[in-house]
Amino acid sequence: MPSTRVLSRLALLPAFLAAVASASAQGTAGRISGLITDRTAGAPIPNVSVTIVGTQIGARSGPDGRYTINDVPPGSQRVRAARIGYSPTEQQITVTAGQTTTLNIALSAASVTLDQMVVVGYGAQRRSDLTGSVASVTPNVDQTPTLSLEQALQGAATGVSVTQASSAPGGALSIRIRGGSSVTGNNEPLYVIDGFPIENNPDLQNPSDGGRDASTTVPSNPLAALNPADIESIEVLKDASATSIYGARGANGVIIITTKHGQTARPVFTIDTYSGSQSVAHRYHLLDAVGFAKFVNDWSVNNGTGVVFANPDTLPNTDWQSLIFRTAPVANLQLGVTGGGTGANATHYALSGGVFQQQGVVINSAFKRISLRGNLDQNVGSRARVASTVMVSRVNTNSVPTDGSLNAGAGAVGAAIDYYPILPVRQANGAYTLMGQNSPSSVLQPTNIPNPVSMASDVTDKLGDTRVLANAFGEFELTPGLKFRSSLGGDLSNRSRDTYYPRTTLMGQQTNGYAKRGTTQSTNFLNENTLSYDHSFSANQQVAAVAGYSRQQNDLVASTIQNSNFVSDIDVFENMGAGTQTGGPQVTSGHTRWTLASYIGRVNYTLANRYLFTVTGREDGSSRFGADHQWGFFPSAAFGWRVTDEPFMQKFPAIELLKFRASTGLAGNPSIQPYQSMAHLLSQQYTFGGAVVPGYYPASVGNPNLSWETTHQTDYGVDLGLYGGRVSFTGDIYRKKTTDLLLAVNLPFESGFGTALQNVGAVSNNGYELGLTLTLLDGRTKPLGWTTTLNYSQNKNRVLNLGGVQSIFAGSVNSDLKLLGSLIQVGQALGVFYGYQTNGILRDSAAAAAYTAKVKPLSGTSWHPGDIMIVDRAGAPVNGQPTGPDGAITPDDRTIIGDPNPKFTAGWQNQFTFGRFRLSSLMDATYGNKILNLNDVRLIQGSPGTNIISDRYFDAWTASNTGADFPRINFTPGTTGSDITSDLLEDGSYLRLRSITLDVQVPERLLARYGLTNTRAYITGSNLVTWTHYSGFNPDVSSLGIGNVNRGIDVGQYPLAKTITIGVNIAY
Amino acid sequence: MRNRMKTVGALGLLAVALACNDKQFLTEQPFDFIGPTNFYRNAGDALAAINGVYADFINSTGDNYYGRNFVMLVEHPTEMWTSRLSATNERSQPDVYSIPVNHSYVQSVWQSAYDAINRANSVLDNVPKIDMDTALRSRIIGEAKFLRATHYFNLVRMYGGVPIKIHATQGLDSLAIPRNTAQEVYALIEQDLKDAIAALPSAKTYTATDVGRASKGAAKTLLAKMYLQRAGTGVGTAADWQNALTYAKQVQSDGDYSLVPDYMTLFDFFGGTVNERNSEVIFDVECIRAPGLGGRISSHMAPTNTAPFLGASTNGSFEAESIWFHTFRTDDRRRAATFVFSWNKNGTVVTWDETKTASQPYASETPFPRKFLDVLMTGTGAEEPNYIILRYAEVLLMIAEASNEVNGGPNAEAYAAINQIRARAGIPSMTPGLSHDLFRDSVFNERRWELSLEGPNGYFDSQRNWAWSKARIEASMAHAKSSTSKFPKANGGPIPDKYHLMPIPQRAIDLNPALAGHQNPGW
Repeated sequence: MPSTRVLSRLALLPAFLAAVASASAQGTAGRISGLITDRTAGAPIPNVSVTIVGTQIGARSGPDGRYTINDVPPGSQRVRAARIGYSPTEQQITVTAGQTTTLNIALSAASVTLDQMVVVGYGAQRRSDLTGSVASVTPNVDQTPTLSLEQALQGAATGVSVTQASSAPGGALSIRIRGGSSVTGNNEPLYVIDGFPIENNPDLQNPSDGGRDASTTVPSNPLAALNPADIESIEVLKDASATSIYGARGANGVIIITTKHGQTARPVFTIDTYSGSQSVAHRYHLLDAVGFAKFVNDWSVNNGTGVVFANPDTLPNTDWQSLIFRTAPVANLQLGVTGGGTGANATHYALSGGVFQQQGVVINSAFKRISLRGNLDQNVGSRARVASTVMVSRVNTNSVPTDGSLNAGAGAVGAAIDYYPILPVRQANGAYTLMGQNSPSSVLQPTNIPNPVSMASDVTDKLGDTRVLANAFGEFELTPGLKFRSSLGGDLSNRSRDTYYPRTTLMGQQTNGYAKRGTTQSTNFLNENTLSYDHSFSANQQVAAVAGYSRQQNDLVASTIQNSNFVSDIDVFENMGAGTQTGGPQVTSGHTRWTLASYIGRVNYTLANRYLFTVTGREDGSSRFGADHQWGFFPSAAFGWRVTDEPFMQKFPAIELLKFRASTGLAGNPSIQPYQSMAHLLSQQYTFGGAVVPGYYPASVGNPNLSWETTHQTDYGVDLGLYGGRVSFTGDIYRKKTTDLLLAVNLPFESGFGTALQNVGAVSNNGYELGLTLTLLDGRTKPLGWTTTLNYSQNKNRVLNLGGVQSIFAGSVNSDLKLLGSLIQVGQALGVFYGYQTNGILRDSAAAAAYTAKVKPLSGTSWHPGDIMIVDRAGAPVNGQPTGPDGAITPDDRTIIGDPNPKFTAGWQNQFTFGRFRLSSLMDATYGNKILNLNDVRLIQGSPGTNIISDRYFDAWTASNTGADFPRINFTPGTTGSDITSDLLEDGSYLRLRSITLDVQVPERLLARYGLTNTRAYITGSNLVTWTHYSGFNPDVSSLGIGNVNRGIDVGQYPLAKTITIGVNIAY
Repeated sequence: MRNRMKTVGALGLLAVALACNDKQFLTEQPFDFIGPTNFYRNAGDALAAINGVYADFINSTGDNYYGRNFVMLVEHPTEMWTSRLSATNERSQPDVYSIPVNHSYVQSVWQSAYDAINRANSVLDNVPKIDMDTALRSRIIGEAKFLRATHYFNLVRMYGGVPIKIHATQGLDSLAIPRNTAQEVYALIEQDLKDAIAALPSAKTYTATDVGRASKGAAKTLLAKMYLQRAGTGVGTAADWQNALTYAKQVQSDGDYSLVPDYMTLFDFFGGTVNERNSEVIFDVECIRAPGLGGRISSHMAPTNTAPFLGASTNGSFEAESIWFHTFRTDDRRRAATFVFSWNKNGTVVTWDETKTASQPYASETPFPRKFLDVLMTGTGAEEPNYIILRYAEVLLMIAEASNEVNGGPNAEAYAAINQIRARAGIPSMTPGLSHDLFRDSVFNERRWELSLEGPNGYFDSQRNWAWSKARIEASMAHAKSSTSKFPKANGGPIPDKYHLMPIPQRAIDLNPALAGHQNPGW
C-alpha cells in the first residue's frame, strides 16, 4: 500500500501550504494591553486567554502575565479573561483607534469553567472551539494523599473508569476510557506527559513475579514514579477527533498531563505538606475461636465423628486480621519555587522537590517516593524560545504478598482470613504455626496455607524504580503565525525487584530459602518536529494547523535470577550464588525494541465564528506490525456548530454557550508486543551420552500481515452554558467498534504450532456521558458559595465476532482452584462469568423431596433440606441446537451468570465556600457490576478447611432456622469443583465518599510578618464511607490483573485504607 | 513570502529525507531470540536444529508424548498393565476400551508427533543449503529423516492414514491438509529410512558425547519393524515379511549390537547404578536427572506417595494385570527386573505379598513396575532412566516373527533367535516343532515378557495379531471386573472392532476442516 501512504502524507502538505501562503490585511484599530494577576496571591498569571467577546480577536498572557490584543475595533468592547483553574471574568472597556488601552484583570481561582484553554494533542485550544470530546481535570492532589496520577482521575471525569487493581502502596490501577475493546492486548490509555507519549503496560514492565505466579497477581504501578503534585492539568481525549492524532496508539483514549511551569515575575516559594493516618476501611466478620469450635463440633457431629472441642472456651483465640493490619502513617512534603524574568530574553523556571512516604495498612508494606522536577523556559529574542522539562524520581516499595492466589500460594491477606482462629501465631518451640502441619485435631483436614504473620513480616519483597523523564524543545517563529518546533525527549527507567522467602515461611521451608531478583531497564527516546500555523484570513475565517514528523524508539532489557536451597537465611537475596538449588540458579534475560515513525497533521478551520471544522490524520509506521502491514493511516473529521454565535440567538442572552459537536474517525491499538509478527526459534536442550547439548526449534510461525486493532468511533456531543457560566452541561453519545481484534487463533495441529496471533474479531462499546456543573450560590456576591458537579457515564460492551469461534475461555481463574476462567462470547460483554445458576436454599424436607423428584443433582442422588438448588436449565444439545431442562444437573446447565462491567459509573463533586473556609467533597459510584469473590470459596464453605465468616455459621440453615441466609453446615456452596456457581458472585455496586476536605485561608495579617503571602490549612478524609453490599474489603477490585479477561475477581486483595490527613500549603 | 516558501520547502525536504530512512528504522531487530532469517547458517546451527528435533521426545512435550501420554496410551490397552485409577479417569479409559474422540492423550500424541515432524522438516528444508562439512551435513539430514520416520510411524500405527507434511510450516496459508492413506504414509517412512540408512554412520563410530543419536543400525531396525507392522496389519504385502527379515538380519550381521549378559542390568536404576549406554540399546530417549532433561514416567510407576515409597509425586498409574503377571515363570530373570517385589527406602522395607489386606503397606493384587523406576529422582521430569525405543533383543524377536511368516512356520533360524532371548532370561528353550500359528503366538508372548513398557509396543503389537490379542485382553478385563480383583473396572469389554485404530482426535478435525468426515471407521 505504498501509494496510499504517500498520498495520505502529501495530502497534509497542500492544506498547510495554502494556509501559510495567504496573508491578511490589517486595518486601523486600537490595542488593549495589561497585566493579569491572581486575585489572592497577586502573582501574574500566564496563558490567560483574553478575548473580545463576540469576536475571534484575542491574545494570551505571556509568562509575565502581560498580554496585548491588537486590531481591536474602536468603541465599547467587552473583554473576557479565562484560564484553566480560574473563574472567567468579563469587563467593559472603551477602545480608541490607534491607541493602547490598559486593562489589568485579577482572576479568582475556581474549578472547571466553560472557556478554559484545553491542551490537546500537539497544541492547545479554547474549550469553546473544541470539536472533539475532551475532559479536563484539575487535580486537587496537594490536599489529598494521591499516590499516582491515575488516582487523581477517580470519579473526576465522564467516560473514565478507574479500577484499583490493588490497594497496596504502589499497586497498579487500571483505567478504561469508554470501555475496554481488546481481548488479549493492553487496554490502558496512552499517557502523554508534557508531550512525551508513554505506553503504560504494567504487566510488561514488572521486573519479576516476586516468586509468585505472575499471571495471577497484580503488577506494580510503573506510573507511581511520577509525582502527582507536579501536575498542572490533566486532559482526557476520548473521541476519534481528539485521539486520532495519536494514530495507532489512540484507541484506548489518551491522557495528556501537563506539569507546572514557571509563571511569576518574582520568585514564589511554596511549601506543601501533609501528614495523615490510614486504617483498614472494612474487615471480614469471621468466626472467633469459640464460634469456630462450635462450627467444627456441629460439622463433625453431622459427619458422625463426634464432638471435637469439648471446651471451646479454653482454646487460644487469634484474630489474624488484627495481627497483620495496622494504623499506618502517610506524609508528604513538597517544596517548590517558580519565577521568571521579563523581556525578550527572559528565563522562566519552576523547580520542585518532594518526598512522599506511606506505610501500608498491612504490616511491613510501605512506599516512598523522592522526586525532583525542573522546568525551564528561555526566550531567545522575541521569535524563539527553548525549554526543558526534567523529572527525576526514585521509588522504593516494600511489598507484602497479598492478592492473587490461594492455598500454599496465598498471600498474607488471603491467609489471614482463612486461618483457624484457634491456632496460636507461634508454636511452643517458637516456630510459626502452619495450619496444614499443626492441625489441632486429626478430624480437621486444614488447607495447607502459609502463616499470614510469617508472610507479612518475614518475606522480603523490595521494589525499586529510578525514573528520569526529560524533554527539551526549541521553538522558532518563522513568520507571524508560523512556528517550527523540534523536541528531543527521553524516558529512562530502571526497575528492580528483590525477593526472599526465609525458612520461617511455608515456601522458604519447602525450598530452604527462596530468592529471586529481577531488573528491567526501559529506554525510550522521542524526537518530534512540528510546524504550526495560526492565522485569521478575515473576521470570518480562521485557520490553525499543525503538521509534523516524529520518531520514537523503546528498548526494554530485562533479567531475572532465582535460586534456592540456601545454607542460612542471613544473606537473603544479596548473595544469589550462595544457593545450592538442584540444577543451579535459574537465569533469564531478554531485550526487546520497538520503533515508531509518524506523520502528523491537523487543520482547524473556523467559519463565521460558529462553524468549526477539524480534520486530523496520523500515519504511523510501527516495527511491531507485520512486515507487510507496517503503516497505518488514522484519519478523523469533526464538525462543531456554536449555535450561540448565530444572530438569532441574541434573543436568548441567558444561553451563553450552545454548541453541537459531531466527530468520526479511526484510532488504533498496537496491542502487539515486539516481534510477535516474526517467526521465532527458541532454544531447548537435549542430552547425548549424558552431556547436555544446545538445540533450537521453530517456536512460532510468522504472520507478516499482523497489524493494529482498529477502533472506529463516532461521537455526537452538546455543550451548554447558561446564566453567566453558572450552569454548564456537556453530553456525549458515542459508538465505538473495534475490528481486526488481535486473537491467538488455534492452528491445525499438523502445522506443528499451537496458535498464531491474527487480526480477527470485533468488539463494540456504545454509551453516553453527561456532565453538569451548577454554581448554585455565587461566593463573589454573597458570603456563601456552592458549586456542584455531577458526571454520569454509561457504556455497553459487546463482543461481535471472534474470528469463527463462538467463545473463548480465559485460563483458570486460579491455579489452585482450577476453576474455569471468565468467558469471552459473541453477543456478550467481555469477560462475563460462567457457571451454574443457583436458586436459593431448599427450605424444608418437602421442598427437597419435590426438587429431588424433579431434578437429579450433579453428584449424589438427592437434594437435602438446607442445600442450595442449582437450576436445571438445559439438556445436552441435539445437532448443535440447545435443548430444554432434562431433569438432571449436568455441565450443559452452565450459563452466563454475571457481568463484571458496570451498568453506569458516576461522580459527584461539591464545593462550598464561606469566607475563608471551603468545604469540598468527591463521591463516586459504580452500579450493576458483579464481583467474583473467590475468597468465599473458603469463607462460606460447609466444612472447616479454613475459618469462615461469622454469619455462615450463625445464620446457616437448620431445621429450626429455615429462613437462613446460608445453606446447612456440611454443605459447601460456591463451586462444583471445576465450575463456579452464582453463589460466589456479589453485587459490586458502591457509592463512596472518596474525599472530603475542609480548608481555610489563613488571614494575611497573620502571615505578613513571616513574609508569607498565601497560606492555607486543611483537613481531608479519604474513603471515609463506602455504601455497598459487597462483603469483601473493597468492591473496587481486580485481583487477577488489569486485562479484560478475569476482571472483577477478588482473591485475598490488599484492603482499602481510609485516611485522615492534615496539611498546610504555604507560599511566600 | 519567497523566504517563507523556501523555509517550508527546506523543512519539507528534510521530512522526505527522513521518510526515506523509515524502512530501515522500522525493521525489527531481534536480540534475545533467533529468527529464521539469521539461523541455519553454519554447522553449529545445523547441529542445534537437529538437537531441537530430539528435544521433542521429552523436553518440549513433557507429559504429552514419550514422557507419559504416549506410553500410557499404548501400554494400558494391553492385557499387561492396568491403571489403578477409577474406570472413568482419562488414564483408565484406554485400559477399559472406553476412549472418547476428544481424549486428551489421543490428542496430545497427534499434536506432539506433528510438532516433531515440523522440526524435522525445518532441518530438511534448511540444512541442505548450508555450506558446511559434507559428512556432518549428510549425517544431520539422515538423523532428521530417521526422526521424521519415527514420528510418522507412531502416527500411522495409532491413527492409520494421516496428513503428510514434508515441509516446515512457513505461513498461515493452506494449513488445512487432507488425510493421506496409510500406504502413502508407510511409503514416506520407507523412503526416509532408506535415505537415513545411506546417510547415517554406524553407532560404533559415535563418540561418547554423541551416543543416543540415530545410527545406521537404528534406521535398519526401524525399517524392519515398519515392514513387520505393515505386513502384520495387512496394509502391506507378503513381500514385507521378507523385507523385515532382510533388514533385521542385516542388523544382526553388522554386529554393532549384542545382548548384555544380565537382563537386570538393562534397567538397574532401582539400585541407583546406571548402565544405560550398553551394547544392546539401539535407540532411546536420552534422559538425565535434571529438570526438563529427565524422564517423567518413573513417577507414575510407584504406587503411592506415602512413605516408604517415593517422596516425589508418585501416583501408581501402572500395575500389572493379574493374569499376565502369573504367566511369568518364577524362574524368569525378567520377572525380577520388571516388577518391584521388595522396597527399601531409608531403612524401611516393605514387601509385596498377594495375600496382604488393604490396610497393610504395599497391599495390591500385583506388584508395580520396576523397569524405568528411578529411586533417586529429584522430581517429575528429572528422572535418569533413558526410555528405550529399540534394542537388540527386539531385532532377534523380529527375526523370529518374520522368518516364521516368510517360511510358513518356524525354522532353525527362528528358533535360534528366540532361544537366544530365552536363554538370557534363564528359562528353557522354546518347545520344538511348533506350528506356524503357535510359534507366532509364542513370539508375541515373548515380546510381552521381554519388551513390556518399552517402545512403546503393547497396543501396536496387538494390532499385528488382533484376534488373539483381543481374546486375551477381554479375558483379563473380565477378571478385572470380577469380585476377585482388588481394582475392579466397571465396564470391561467386549472390545469393539473399531479399536484396531485410535480415533482421529476431535480437536484435530475441528481445527483442520479437510479432515471433517474422514474419521476412522466406527468412531
